[in-house]
Amino acid sequence: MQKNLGAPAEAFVSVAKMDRHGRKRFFLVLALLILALHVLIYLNISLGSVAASRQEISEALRYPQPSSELSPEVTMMRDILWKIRLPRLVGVLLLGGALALSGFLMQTFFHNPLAGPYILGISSGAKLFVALLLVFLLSQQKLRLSSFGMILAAFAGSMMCMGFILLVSRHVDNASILVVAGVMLGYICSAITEIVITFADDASLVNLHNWSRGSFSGISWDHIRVMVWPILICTIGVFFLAKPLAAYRLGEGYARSVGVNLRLLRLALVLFSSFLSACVTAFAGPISFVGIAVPHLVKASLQSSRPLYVMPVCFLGGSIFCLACDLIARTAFSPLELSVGAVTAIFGAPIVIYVLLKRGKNGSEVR
Amino acid sequence: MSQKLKPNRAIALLLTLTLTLSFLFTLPLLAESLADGPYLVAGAITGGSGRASIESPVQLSVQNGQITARLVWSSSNYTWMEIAGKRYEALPGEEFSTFEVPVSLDQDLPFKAETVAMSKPHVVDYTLHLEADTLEKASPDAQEQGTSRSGSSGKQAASPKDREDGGLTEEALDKLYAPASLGNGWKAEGKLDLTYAQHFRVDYFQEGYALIRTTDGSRYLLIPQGKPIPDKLDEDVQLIPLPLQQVYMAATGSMGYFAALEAMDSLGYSSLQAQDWFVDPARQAMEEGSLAYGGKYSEPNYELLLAGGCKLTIESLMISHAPEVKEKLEDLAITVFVDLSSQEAHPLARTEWIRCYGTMLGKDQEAQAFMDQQIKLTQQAEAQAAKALADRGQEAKTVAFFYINSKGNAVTRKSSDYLAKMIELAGGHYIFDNLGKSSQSMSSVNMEMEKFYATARDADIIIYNSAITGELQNIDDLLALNPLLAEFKAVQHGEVWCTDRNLYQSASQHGQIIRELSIIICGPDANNSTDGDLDYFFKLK
Repeated sequence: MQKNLGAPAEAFVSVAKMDRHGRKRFFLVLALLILALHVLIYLNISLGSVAASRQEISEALRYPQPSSELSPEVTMMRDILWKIRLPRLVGVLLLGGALALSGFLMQTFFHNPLAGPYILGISSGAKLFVALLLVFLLSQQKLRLSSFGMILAAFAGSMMCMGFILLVSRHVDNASILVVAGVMLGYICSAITEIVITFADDASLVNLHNWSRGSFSGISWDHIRVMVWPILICTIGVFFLAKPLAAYRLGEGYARSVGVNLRLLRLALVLFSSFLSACVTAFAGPISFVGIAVPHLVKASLQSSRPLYVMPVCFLGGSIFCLACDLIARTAFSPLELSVGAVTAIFGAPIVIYVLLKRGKNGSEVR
Repeated sequence: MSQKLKPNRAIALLLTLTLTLSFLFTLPLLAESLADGPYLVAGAITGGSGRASIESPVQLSVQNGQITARLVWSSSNYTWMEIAGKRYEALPGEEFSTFEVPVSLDQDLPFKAETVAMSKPHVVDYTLHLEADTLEKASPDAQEQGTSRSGSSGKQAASPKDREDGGLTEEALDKLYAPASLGNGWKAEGKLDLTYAQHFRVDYFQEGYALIRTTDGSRYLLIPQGKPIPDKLDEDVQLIPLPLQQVYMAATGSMGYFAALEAMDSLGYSSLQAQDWFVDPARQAMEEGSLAYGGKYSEPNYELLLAGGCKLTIESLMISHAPEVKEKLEDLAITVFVDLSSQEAHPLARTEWIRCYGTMLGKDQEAQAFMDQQIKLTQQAEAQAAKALADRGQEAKTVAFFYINSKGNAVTRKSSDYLAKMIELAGGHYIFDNLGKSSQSMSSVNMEMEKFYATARDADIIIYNSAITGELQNIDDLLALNPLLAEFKAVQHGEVWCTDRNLYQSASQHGQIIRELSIIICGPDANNSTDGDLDYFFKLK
């Protein structure tokens, strides 16, 4: 087995030297993010269309169940907090983190800073299935659906795309071909969606458009109960990939040389990333730029791309980014709610541009 | 054991399969082998302009396996029917056109029929459908059964509900409704008699309780003020406490009912902003602050609704495509009332939903009076149309209703749409008379320009639907959309009209709209109102 000791050895040495600094920086960034998380949780609980005093809010938080001891104002606030703001907050935390992590996996796998969670056609597949459901089943009144029906449809569409990509990945070794396959699949799904839309009534068109904008509105505790386990299990599974990913980051040749099963790694990456982004798309629709921008922000702040450091911070960063964007979306022009995808794009796109410009100047990626 | 299926087993399997298939194919034949005698079956026709219908249930006569149906039309203008190349003449001496024709059950039967409603005979394509699962043996007095219904106008034969193609038969409707019971043993003491509307029913119970049922299977119990919620209600019965307060109006077409009943004070929130309302009382209420913006129907501001004490939201059918919103509202103990008026086939059926809201608001008499007024306006328009046709001795004027979208396609309404029906009631003929199946839910049809041009260029009157793309100011604006429109007969004769943007928010005013259409199509009405006195249309010059 040939071992290229030059570049990897140097990388190893630099990482070893950095390690203490890296760890310090890691904990500092983590501490700052946890602080930011606390602030955003506080703001998301306190701010909304209905104003309330800190006392009312803290009293309402102590009563997850209705209580006759509460005053009418606090009772109302209790309902708002426990039925509207808190489930939404938890949902945003979970889904934002999942999206950022999914984006990081795709960027690492494809060695492409612009790769995102939807590069493999996940959101296009979800939109196609939702369109089919709206146009051919709901409109013809052949079916009455609950929200979980819509979620399942979106999830099924995403899984269909994931299945296709997995099939392709078994036959190709080149990651670039996989990207092309994913992009082409996205185009196919979008084209079929356009055909389906031809048969859509006005209501379906409007609702499909609304779904496509993405939103965290309407997340309930029932939704949380369903989404929490797949997201947590996938996230834990991703953390177990830290070591092989770290090797993969240094090159496929090197990774193979240290015993990483590239085929299995590829499969795991596609599986976890697709599953995470499918969960987000199913519950909140396509939310853009989180998966692309947040990994860059995290790597820039950590001054490291080590998966072991980046992954947990990515999850946290995604949660925080989405919390902030969702807060802006629902309070900036209250009672009107902005599309959260628009807000994430407004903040996320400049980050991506900045990263690209920086790469252009330095000619290298942060290691 | 061998991997291959043993021969005996294979033969047994094959025989079983053959027998099963034979049985399945034979079933229809067995089903049609009815005993001789009279029967009744639910039936309907589709096709044509959408005005005509047949009486249902249909009387059948079976003799030696041959099924003959007695089809009684809603009109006396049909002279013959042609089925499979054979012509059947109308039976003489009948008040409405009546035919006895051979039919088969559960199979669509295409046929042609000639109508002399216009001065020149006109052959129209229809399809007859009989629902075999509603078949029942009729008594020897079958001719007396199910044929007389009365409407508020006092007519005995063929009430407005029977006249409408695209409307549902009573048997089909009954299947769509949940039972008129509450689950606690209470019996309904009366019901609201409706003339046109098919998609809601009101049943009255003791002590002022009333149950509103809609054809999506929903049940809403109105709880009178000061009365308790009855015990042991069925789980699916949703509660609407009275009086209505702080209602979130998310069905824009339904605002007109509240405006007409002067019940704006029952509303608290709206899904449209002030500048998007064309119902004056709604816009005024928002400008004054008594009606607040509660977020779009797909993203309501839950906090605002909850804090404001909203207990009821009125949604359109759009909510069925956003189930998570409905679930969230119900989770917050806000009853979601889905307005199904858009499902009504007849324009006045949509207007009659004012009586549903009149029940909720305790304004039954006001609602009835309003409805009677709209019926009167429609009857006046119909009378004027008949007179104009008789005076002119010509066919009804053809009318095209459409708009041009951003892709350059013409978007029209399908032939069975309520707007097409309003044109027919007003004495016109909707020129796209074979567009879209009534079973399709979409109301708009995208036509590519070639087909549109070939059909619409000879229309006597054009009504441009400016509710979607914004108002046109003059003919030049219209021609800017597509220069081909200059070739249209209506454009050359100056018969181009535009809708006002309030058309779609005025379901309560369909009688008025039909009257205005009759002024456009037939000329000044009996009150000498001219085209300058219109609220919903204006002429493009």
